[in-house]
Amino acid sequence: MAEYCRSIIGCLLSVGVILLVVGCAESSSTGNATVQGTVTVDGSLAPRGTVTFFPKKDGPVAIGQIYSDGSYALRIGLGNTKNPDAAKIPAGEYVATVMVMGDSVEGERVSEDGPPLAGPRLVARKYTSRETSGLEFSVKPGRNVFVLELESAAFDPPEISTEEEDGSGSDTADKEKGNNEESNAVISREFTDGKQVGNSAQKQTEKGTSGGQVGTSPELPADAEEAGTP
Amino acid sequence: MKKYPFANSLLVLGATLFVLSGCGGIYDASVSGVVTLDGTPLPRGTVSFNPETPGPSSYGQIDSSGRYTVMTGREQGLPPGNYVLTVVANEPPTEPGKNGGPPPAGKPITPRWYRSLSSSGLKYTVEKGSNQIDLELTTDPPNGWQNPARRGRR
Repeated sequence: MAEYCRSIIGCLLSVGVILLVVGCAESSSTGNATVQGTVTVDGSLAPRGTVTFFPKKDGPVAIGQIYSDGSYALRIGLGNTKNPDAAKIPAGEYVATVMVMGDSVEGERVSEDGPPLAGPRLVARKYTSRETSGLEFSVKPGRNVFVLELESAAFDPPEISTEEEDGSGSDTADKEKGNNEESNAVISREFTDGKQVGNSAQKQTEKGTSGGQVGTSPELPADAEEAGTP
Repeated sequence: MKKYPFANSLLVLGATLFVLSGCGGIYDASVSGVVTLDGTPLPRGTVSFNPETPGPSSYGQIDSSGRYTVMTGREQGLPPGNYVLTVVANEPPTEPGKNGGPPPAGKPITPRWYRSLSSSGLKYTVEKGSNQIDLELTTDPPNGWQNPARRGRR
């Protein structure tokens, strides 16, 4: 920087250029902090998925794609399109949700010649809802690195069918019940209780549900396994 | 190009500013190496570098030839210091999950004691600059190793 400042004009000019460049690069950024990190599931790097940070107070929701090496960087909206890793979000208190998907099942597609179906959920279900994720972060101005060491779906507690009774009979819950009966009881409740759950996490949940991919953990009781078949 | 005579210099200026602004190479140390188990390179897996001082862990993804390079978040490298390493590698899942659910985890490749900070025995000091850390894992359990009970909530 100093070598540009041989004269006042030169200095002003270079500051101007910097402002111009920085201004262009971050035109859609709204914050003062960068958040990056790594997601692991039972110690292995997550292969793909999404990290979502919900502000505890008012503010925009920050999301980040999980890359194949388990890393992610948060952004708001389109973020910094020139340098996605440098996108900024407002500092503050956040609650995170995480969805990690495995490889899509070979041969299963949305329709003939359509894109492949999303792979099964790999993380425990609790991480997909901000009521249950327990992932709270204090984002400081400047650079933040948050490692998310998560448990796999094998840690999902066995599902309890009594939850179904207090499903309050809303449309959503009924539909879900019709789909998958008891194995979906917990998710259905999430649906009805968790309307305020933001776009991304909810969408993931929805996808999982309609694809019949909801938490078939190894510990599932036998009757829940049959529930998926009509 | 001729139409925009300043395009080149602007590009250079932009790249310079980009570097100056701390977008690349922000960590003072880098680590790469090869992971072998009984002499054979691991075909996949995760090496984690856990700092002894408070701070986020850094990770290396093991490629098909056993090599890894450590990243912290999205950036290559990590701060110099003392680290405890763990290594986790599993075979890819062989059977699909039931009802489209998650597939049961593949068979573990690395022995269990390498998965835990307390038992891995892999302590390294990362110096400023580039470091080569080759991990020669063995299937011989360390002294006093006891297989813990199967984990999971039962």
